[in-house]
This record gives sequence, C-alpha cells and structure tokens, in this order.
Amino acid sequence: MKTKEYIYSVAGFGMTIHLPEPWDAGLLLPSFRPFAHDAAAVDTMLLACTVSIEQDNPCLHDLGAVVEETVNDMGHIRLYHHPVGYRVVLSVEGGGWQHTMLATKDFTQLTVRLCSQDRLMGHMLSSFLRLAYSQAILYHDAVSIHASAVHNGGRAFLFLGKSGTGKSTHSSLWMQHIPATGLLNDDNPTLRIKDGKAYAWGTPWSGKTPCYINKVYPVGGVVRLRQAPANSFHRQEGVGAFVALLPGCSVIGQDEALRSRLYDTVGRLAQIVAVGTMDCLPDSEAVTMCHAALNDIEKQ
Amino acid sequence: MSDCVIRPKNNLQLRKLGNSYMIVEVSAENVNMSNVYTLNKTAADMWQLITEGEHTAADLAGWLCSKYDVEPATAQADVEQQLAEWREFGLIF
Repeated sequence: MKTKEYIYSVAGFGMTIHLPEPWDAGLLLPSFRPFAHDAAAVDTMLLACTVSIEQDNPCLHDLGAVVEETVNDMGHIRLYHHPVGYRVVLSVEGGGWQHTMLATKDFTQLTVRLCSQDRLMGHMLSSFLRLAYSQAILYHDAVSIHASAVHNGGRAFLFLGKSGTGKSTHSSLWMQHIPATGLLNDDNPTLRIKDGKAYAWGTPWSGKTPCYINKVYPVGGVVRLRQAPANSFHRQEGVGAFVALLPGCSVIGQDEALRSRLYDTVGRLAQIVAVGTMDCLPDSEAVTMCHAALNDIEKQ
Repeated sequence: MSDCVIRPKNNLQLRKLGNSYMIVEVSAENVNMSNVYTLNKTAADMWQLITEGEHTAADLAGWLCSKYDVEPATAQADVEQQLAEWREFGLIF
C-alpha cells in the first residue's frame, strides 16, 4: 500500500507519521497543522508512527490482563502488555468502533490501526499520538502536564487542578485582567527542561478549546488551584513543589522506568520553577494576587 | 523484632530534592495517585543502609550510636520508632 510521510514537531520533538494514501493528515489531524515541520527543524527525533486504516473493527483476542483502563476526553483507553511493549485499545466511551496501537516499551515505534467507519477516527489518531508522545518525552527531560497555560511578558504561567477546579476560568481571568496575556494551551502543554531552564510549549492537544499554538516560553510559574471561599497564595518549594506538580503529569503508573524518569524531571522542575498552591475564587483579585506572587518569587 | 533483617518494599527509590529527601510510591488503590514520604538526613541514611544491605534494628541502633553522640537505649528506641512508622506505611516488611 502506498503511504505518505508527514513530519510534525511538538516542543522540538519530531514525530513521523506514515498514512496510507489517499488519506490526508491535514484533514485527519487538523490540530497538528501549526506543527507541520521539516525534518531539519526538529531537535530530537521522538517517534515514528505507521497508520493503517481498515473498514472493520480489529480482531482482538488473547489480549491478556488489562494494565490500565481509563475513561477521559480521549475516550475509553485500555492498555495491555505485549511482547514488543504495549497494546492500546481505544474507543468512544460506552463502546463503539475500536482502534488499536502497538507501541514499543519506550513508545518510539508505533503501529496504529484505525477503523474508518468511526467518524471520530482522526480524533482517535490524535489521542494515540498524545498518549505515545506523553510517555516517549519522559526519556527526554520533558513532561506532558494537565494544565491551562497563558503567556504574559514573554513567560508562560501554568494552572493545575482537579477537573472542574477552574483552570480555564483562571486563564480567562488572567486574559481579562492582566494586560497583554494570551492563551498558550488550555489542557495539555509540554514542560521541557533545556540547558537547566524550564520551558512551556503549546501542543496539538488543548482539550475543548481549539488553541493549537506552536510557541515556546520560559516558565514564569506553575500554580495548583483549589476552590475556596477566599483568595490566598502559598509558595511551594522542594518536596511541596514536587507534590504540587506531580498529580498533573501524564505517566503509566505501572511502568517503573517511565515513572522513574517522571520523578527525576518533576524533581528538577520543582527546583527551577516558581511553584505555588492557591486557594481561590473565580475573581479578579485571585489573578492579580497570583500574578504578583509569582513575580515576587521570580525576583528573589 | 531487633534481630530480624529489615526488608524494604521493592522499587522504592530514595530521592534528594534540594535539602530534603523523599520516597515516592504509587498508591496501591489508584495508579494515578502517588504517596510522597519525606525523610530527614538521618532517616534517609538509614533508608539507604537497609536498601543496600541486610540489617537488623540492632545494627541500625549501633550505626546510629557510631554516628551520633547518643545512648544505646535511646538509639534503639529511635530506630524502632522510625521502623514502626515505615512498617505502618507499608514501606518495609
């Protein structure tokens, strides 16, 4: 079968995707368009993905015991061990068409099989790539973090928190009340350490907000938000900063090697990034307090 | 208990973060959750000892006495207290 090669660069990490013709990556992966790149622009080649597209569901048998099972905005994800590494089965929540990915243990070589009857096939491919990318980058001093991120004054600010805490709302309030603030990513930016400094990158994955920005900023601060009846900011350092950052990071919890790399990276981030926790209301005082507190830490 | 060899749970690596030490463990109930334990320098050294070799509580008390100016009875009690805490958290057997 004739395939066409597409190369994308996310956070400086190259991803090569081979799609069978006549399928077009621009149509299947619209959020990746800003990340289309020449091979020359990529600083680290991360992963290669070969896609096949079939009419029907795959034949799945002898999958063994499920390692992890999650339902989130990517869909219903089931992860299994496989002699080469992992097999991932993805469908919409509650069943439906099934798509599979076979990945080496380090998630650098991927074989994806999509089912063309699913109108969400492109979204499923994007989710497979997100899953693999978020694990593969752990070997390169980087982490995929569940956060809403804004940029202001040439720096990025990330807001973490449990679902429904108001991460996106907090970002919107920054844009309303702190001049010259823009959204970088609303769900899944990448944090990457390079030459001892932390940088935040936009990605093709941004949750419900279509904000796919191929830009990078040095990190100005990361804040874990918690809803509260009054606003207060608490600086976190050392283990406190580690604990604030860790729950937002993507990792296969059962995989010792991946987890170890994640802890190393988060440990380093905890020491080089301004980190805080904030009890907050969804109001202008919360964002001016947050902005001022992070600026104060930066000056010290 | 002082003559039993202390066995730490597998794959719990001690990490240094600035001036602190910690052990990160994936929660048994939920792989998306982690437990983070902080240790002071003495506890961290003690953890290092039990992960690198076979030691009993009496060995550790002896080590503590050789390192710090402390009475054997106090050292024994301190070691037992630390081990009881780790045992309660399931970090050692």
